[in-house]
Amino acid sequence: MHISVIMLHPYSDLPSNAFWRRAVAETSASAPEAISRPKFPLTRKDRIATAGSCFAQHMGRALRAAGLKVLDAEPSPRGIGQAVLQQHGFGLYSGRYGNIYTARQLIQLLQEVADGRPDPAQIWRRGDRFHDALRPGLDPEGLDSPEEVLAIRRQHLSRLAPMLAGADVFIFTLGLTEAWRCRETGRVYPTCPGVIAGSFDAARHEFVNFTYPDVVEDLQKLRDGLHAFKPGMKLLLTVSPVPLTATASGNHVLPATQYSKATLRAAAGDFAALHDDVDYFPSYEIVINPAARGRFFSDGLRQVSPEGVAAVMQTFLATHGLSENMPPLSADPDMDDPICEEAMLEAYSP
Amino acid sequence: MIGDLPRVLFVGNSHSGSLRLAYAAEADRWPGWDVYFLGVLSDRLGELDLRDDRLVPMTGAASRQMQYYNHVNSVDVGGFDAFVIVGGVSWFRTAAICAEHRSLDFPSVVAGDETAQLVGGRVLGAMLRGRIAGSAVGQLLPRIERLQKPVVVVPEPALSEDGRADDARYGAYHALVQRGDATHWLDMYRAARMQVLGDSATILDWPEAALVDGPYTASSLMRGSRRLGRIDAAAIVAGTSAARAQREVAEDGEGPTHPDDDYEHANATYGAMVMDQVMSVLSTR
Repeated sequence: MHISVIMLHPYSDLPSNAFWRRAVAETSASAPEAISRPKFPLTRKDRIATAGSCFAQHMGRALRAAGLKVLDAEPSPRGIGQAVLQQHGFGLYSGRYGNIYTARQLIQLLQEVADGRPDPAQIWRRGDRFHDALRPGLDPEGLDSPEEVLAIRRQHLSRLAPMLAGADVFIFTLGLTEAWRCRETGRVYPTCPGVIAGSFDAARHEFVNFTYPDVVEDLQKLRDGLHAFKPGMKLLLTVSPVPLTATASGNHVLPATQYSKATLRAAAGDFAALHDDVDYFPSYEIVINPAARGRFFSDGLRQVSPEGVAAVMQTFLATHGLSENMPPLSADPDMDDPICEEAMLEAYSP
Repeated sequence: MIGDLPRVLFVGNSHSGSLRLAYAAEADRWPGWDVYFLGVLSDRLGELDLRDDRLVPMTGAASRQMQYYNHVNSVDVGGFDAFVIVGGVSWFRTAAICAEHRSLDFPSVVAGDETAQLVGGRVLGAMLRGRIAGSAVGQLLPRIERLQKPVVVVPEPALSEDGRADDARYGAYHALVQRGDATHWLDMYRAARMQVLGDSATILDWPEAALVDGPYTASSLMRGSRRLGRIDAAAIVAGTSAARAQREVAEDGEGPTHPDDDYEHANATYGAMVMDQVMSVLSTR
C-alpha cells in the first residue's frame, strides 16, 4: 500500500505570483499579474501631484488619459503645440519644476516653497542669458536677467504652495542617486553645472552619490515636508527604469546604474513598508523584467520603449482599478520622448 | 492684352473674399497684372499641397471645398509669376496666449499686475512662432515657396471695432487691449511672424488707414462683408482665363453678406485697400 505524504511548509500554499516560472517566465511581460497590491487605491476623486525623473512624465500623461485629477499649478495656455509646451516644462508635472531626480532635490523644493524665497545665488549664466540653476532646462533659451529668473521663480514657488496643500496623493518617481551640489549651501542640482548653463567650479561644486541611509532619511523628510503642506497626504513611490546617461562615480556606468537603482528600489520599498500612507509601485521591475527580453528599451538601451511605457502604465492603472472606461494606452511609436536634462550628458560621450 | 500680363494667383481663405469683391468691382484699378483667385475656407488653406506644379487638396474637406468654391480638383500653378496668400493665421486669437501668461516686460506687469503667470519672453515668442508655423499660412507658404516665385502674405483683418461689445467671443482680445498690452504683444507677434514667414515672402501689415484705436479695424471697412462665393476657376486650369472673365463670374458669384455679428471679415472697401498694398509690392518685383 502506497501512502502519499503531503508536506506542509511556507511555500506549499503560495500563490502563482510567488513563483518565477509561472509569474515571470510563463507570463507576458506586458501584463504581469498581481505584481502589486496597492495600499490605497487611487480614485478619480483623488487630487494627484506628480514629480520625478524624466520617466515620471509618462505617469502624469497616463493618469490624465485615465481621467484622473492631476493637479497643475502652472497650466499652459491653450492651443499651443505639445512640443513647445514640453520644451518649456508645461504639462510635464504638477508645476513647472522640471525633472526632479533625487529625493533631496524635492525636499529642497518643498522647503523653498515653504519659505517662499528663492536663493539668488542659484542662477546660472550662459552667454548673455540666465537660467534657474534648479531647473536649468526649463527655458532652453534662458531668461533676460537674473532679476527675471528670481521673479519667475518667486511666483513659481507661490503657485506650488496651494497645489501642494490641495493634493491627496503625491506620486514621486525616484531617478538617481548621483548628483552635484553646492559645497556652500548643500543644494543639489538637477544637472552638473556647466552642462546646460553655468560653469563647473571644483571649489564650489562637489559630486555626491546618495547611499541607502541617505535616501531613506530623505524620504522621511520628504514625507514630513508633504505633510506640512497637507497632513495625511499619501506618497506613492516608483523608481525610474531609465539607466544613467553617464556616471561621475569613477565606476563603469552599468554597475553605477545598478547601484543607483538598487539603492533607490530598496529604500523606497523599505520606506513604504514602514508607513501606511506610503506605497511603492514596481515600474522599474516591469521594464527590466527578463521576460521582455529587452524590448521594453528603445534603441540606445536607455529610454523606455513605447511598449514598455504602455506595459507600466496599463499595469499601474489596472492595479488601481482604473482601466475601465478609459481609452487604451497604445504603444504609440510617435509618443513624445520625455524631456530629460540628464540625457544631455550623452553629448560628452567620447 | 490677355496673355501679355504677368499672372498672379491669390490663394486665400474666407478673408480673400473682400479682395475678390474689390477686384471684381474695379479691376482696371490694378492693370499691371492678370489676377486670379482660388479660395477655400478656414484652415483648409493649409491643406493644399504642391505636387508637380499643381496645387492639390490633401484632405477630403479641402477637396470638397476646391470643388465647391472653385469647381476644380486641382490647379496648375506652374505658369503664375507671383502668389498672394490671403489669411491663414489670426492675430486677435493669439490674445489667448498671453491672457494668463506674461513676461516681465508686458506693460500690465510693469504696472504691477500680478495675476498673470510669469514666463520668459522667449517662451511666449516660441508659442507665437509655433502658432504661426502650424497655421494654414505657415503650412502653405513653404509649399508655394518651392515654385521660387515672389510670394506676398496678407493678414486677416484686425477685429472690427464693432466687436468690442462682444466679450463672450473676444474677451481675451479686449482684455489685452484694456490692459495696455496690445502694442507690446503686437510687436512680439510681428517679430514671430517675420521669423517664421519672412524669409519666404513679403509680409504685409494691415493698411494703416484701416485701423482705429490701434488694433481694431474701422467698422466702416467691415460692415457688409460677404461670404466666400463660388467662382469658376476652371479657366485657371485651362490657362485661358482673363481678368474680365473672372470679374464677371465673381460679381455674380460671391456669397451672401455675413451676419451683423460677424466682426472678423472685411468688406470690399477694405479689400481694395489691401489690393493697393499687394499691387504696390508686386509692381516693384
